[in-house]
Amino acid sequence: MRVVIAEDSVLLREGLARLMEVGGFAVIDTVGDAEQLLRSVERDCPDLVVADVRMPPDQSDEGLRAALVLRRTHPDLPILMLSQYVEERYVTELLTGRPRGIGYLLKDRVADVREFLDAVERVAGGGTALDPEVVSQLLVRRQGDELDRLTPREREVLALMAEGHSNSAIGATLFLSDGSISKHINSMFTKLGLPRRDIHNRRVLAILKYLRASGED
Amino acid sequence: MRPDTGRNYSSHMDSVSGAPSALVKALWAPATWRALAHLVSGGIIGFASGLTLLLLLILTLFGAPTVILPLVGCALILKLGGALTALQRSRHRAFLSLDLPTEPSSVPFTVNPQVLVRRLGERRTWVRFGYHVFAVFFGYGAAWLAVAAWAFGLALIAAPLYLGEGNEFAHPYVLCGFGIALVLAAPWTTRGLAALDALAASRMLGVLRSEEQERRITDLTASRSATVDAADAERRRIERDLHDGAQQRITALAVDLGIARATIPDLSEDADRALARAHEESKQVLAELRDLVRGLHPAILEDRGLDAALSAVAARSPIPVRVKVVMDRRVPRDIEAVAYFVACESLTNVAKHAEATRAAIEVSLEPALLRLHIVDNGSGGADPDRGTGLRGLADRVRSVDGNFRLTSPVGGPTSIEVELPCAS
Repeated sequence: MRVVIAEDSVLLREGLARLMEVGGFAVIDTVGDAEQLLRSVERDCPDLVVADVRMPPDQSDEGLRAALVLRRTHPDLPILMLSQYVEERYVTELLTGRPRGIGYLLKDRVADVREFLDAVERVAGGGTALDPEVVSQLLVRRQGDELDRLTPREREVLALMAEGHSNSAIGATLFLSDGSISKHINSMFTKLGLPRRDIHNRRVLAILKYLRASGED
Repeated sequence: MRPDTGRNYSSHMDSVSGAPSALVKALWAPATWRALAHLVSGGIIGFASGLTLLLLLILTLFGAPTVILPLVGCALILKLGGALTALQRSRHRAFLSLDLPTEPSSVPFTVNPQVLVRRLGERRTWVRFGYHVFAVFFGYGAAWLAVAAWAFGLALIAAPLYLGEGNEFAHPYVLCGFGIALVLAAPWTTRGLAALDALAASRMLGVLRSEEQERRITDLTASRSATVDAADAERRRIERDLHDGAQQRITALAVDLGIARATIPDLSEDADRALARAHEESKQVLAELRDLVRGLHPAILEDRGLDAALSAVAARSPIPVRVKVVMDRRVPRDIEAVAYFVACESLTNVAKHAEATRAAIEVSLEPALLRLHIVDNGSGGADPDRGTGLRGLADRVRSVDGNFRLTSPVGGPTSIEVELPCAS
C-alpha cells in the first residue's frame, strides 16, 4: 500500500515515515505543506494519505482544507488526519458527504505504535478511526435527554463503536460476548431512536451525525 | 429596579417619559415614594443641621477674642459635622440604596487644639461641610418643591368640587387639567431632585481622592494591565516553543522506541524490559507535557476560541460535564484565557474534592460582560482560605477587574460565578 505523509515538523514526519514502513506501508512521498500534498496526490495516486491538520503557511487548518479538496477530487482515497487537539467542526466537515476511509486522531497516538497502525489499517480498508477524545467531546455536547437514558455500559459501547471498532473488537475490549454486545447496541439504538443498521460505517456515522445535529442548540 | 446612583435615576426617567402607561405607573412606583421620603427627610435634617452649624459658626467668629469660645465652637462643628455626615450617609442608603464608601479618619477626634487644627486643615472636612451647607438650601427647597408638586396638583384636580364657574382664576376644569399634568410630572420632579441630591452626596460624602491619587490609580491600572498582557504573551510563547520543540522531539522519540519494541527480535529479557520502560516513560512525558501546555495557553483556545476549548476540557473531565456557551463573537485574549483557566481549575477541584457526579459550565456574553457559571452537585464546603487553588482563581479574575463569587455551603452544591469585563 502506497502512502503520502504531510506533516510540517521534520522530526515527526520522519518518525511517521519509519512507523508506516514498519507497518508494511510503502511511503512514496513525504511533504511539508498542503500545496505539495495536493500535487503529490495528483502525481503519484497513493492508496492512503496521512496529514496534519495544522500546516504552513498559516498554521491554522490548511491540512484539513486540503483533505476536503481530496474528498471531492478523489472520493475513494482514504485519509487519516492528525491533530494537536480535537475540533468537533473538523470532524463534522470530514464526515459530511461520502464518509468512507476517514480517520481523525490526536498526534500523541502515534507513540502507541500498535494501536496507531491498527487505526491506519482500518482507515486504509475504508473504515473509520476516531480518537476517543473526539467521541467524548461529541458526547459532552449531547448530554441531557436521550443520552442520559443510556446505561454506563451502553455509553462505553457507543464510544468504542464511534471510534470505529467492530463488534468483536468492542467485545474483546469490554470482555463481553458478541451476543451481549449486539444486545447493548440494539437497546442503545432504540433509546436513541435510530434504525438498526448492519453496515459498520453507517452506524458510526449515523450516530455521529445524530450527536452533532442535535448538539447545536 | 433599585436606584443605586444618580445615573440610574436619569435612565429611569427616560423610561418613564417613553411610554404613557409607565407615566401613570410611576405614580405608585416604590422608587417614587422612596425618593419623596428621601427629599422630605433631607429637608428636615438639612434645615435643622444647617441652622445649628450656622449658629456655631457665628458663635465661633464672634467669640474669637475669648480664645476658649472658638476652640469649643470648632470642636463642636467638627464633632457635629462627623455625626451629620454619618446621618446623611445612612439616609442615602436607606431611601436610595446608595452606598457611599467611607474612609478611616486620619486622626481620631479629641478636643486637642493640635488635632482640631489638623482636622480643620483637611480638604475632606470642608467638602463634607460644603455638603451640609448645600443640604440647608437644596434640602429645604427640594423638599418643598416635591411636596408642593404633589399637593398643588391634587388640589387643582379637585378644583371643580369647590370652585364655582364664576371664580376670578379660570374655569375649574382647566385648573383640573393643570392639576393632572402637575401630578403626572410630580414623580419626575421627585426622582430628579433625589438624583441631584444623590449626585452631590456621591461627590462630597464618598471617598475623596486627590488628583495625585487619581493619577496614581490610572497609572497602576495601566501598568497592571500591561503586566497581565505580558504574562499572557509569555504563556503563549512558551506554549509555541514547547509545541515546536520538545513536544515534536519527544513524539519522535516515543515513535522510535515503539518501533524498536515492535521490530527488534531476540532481545534479552533485561533489554526488552528496559526498552519497554523507556517507551512507556516517553509516552508519560508526552502526556505530562500536553497537560502542561493545556494549563498554560492551549492551541485550541488560541485558534478556535473559548467554546471549543471548554468542550475539550469538559470531555477530559472524569465526571460528566454539561457545557453551554452562548457567544456571538470572540472576546479579548486575556479574558478568554482567564475564563478558560477558571473553568479548568474549577473542574479539577470538582473532580478532586467535591464528591460530585455531575457539573455544568455556562458561558454567556453581554455587550460588555462575559459571565461564567460553574456548578456541581457535590458536597460543598469549599473554602478559599484553605488551599491556594480558589484564592488563585479569585486573584486571576481580579487581575482583569472581574468579579469572583463562590457559594459553597456545607452539603453543597458549589457554585462559582465569574463576571469578566470585555468591551465589544
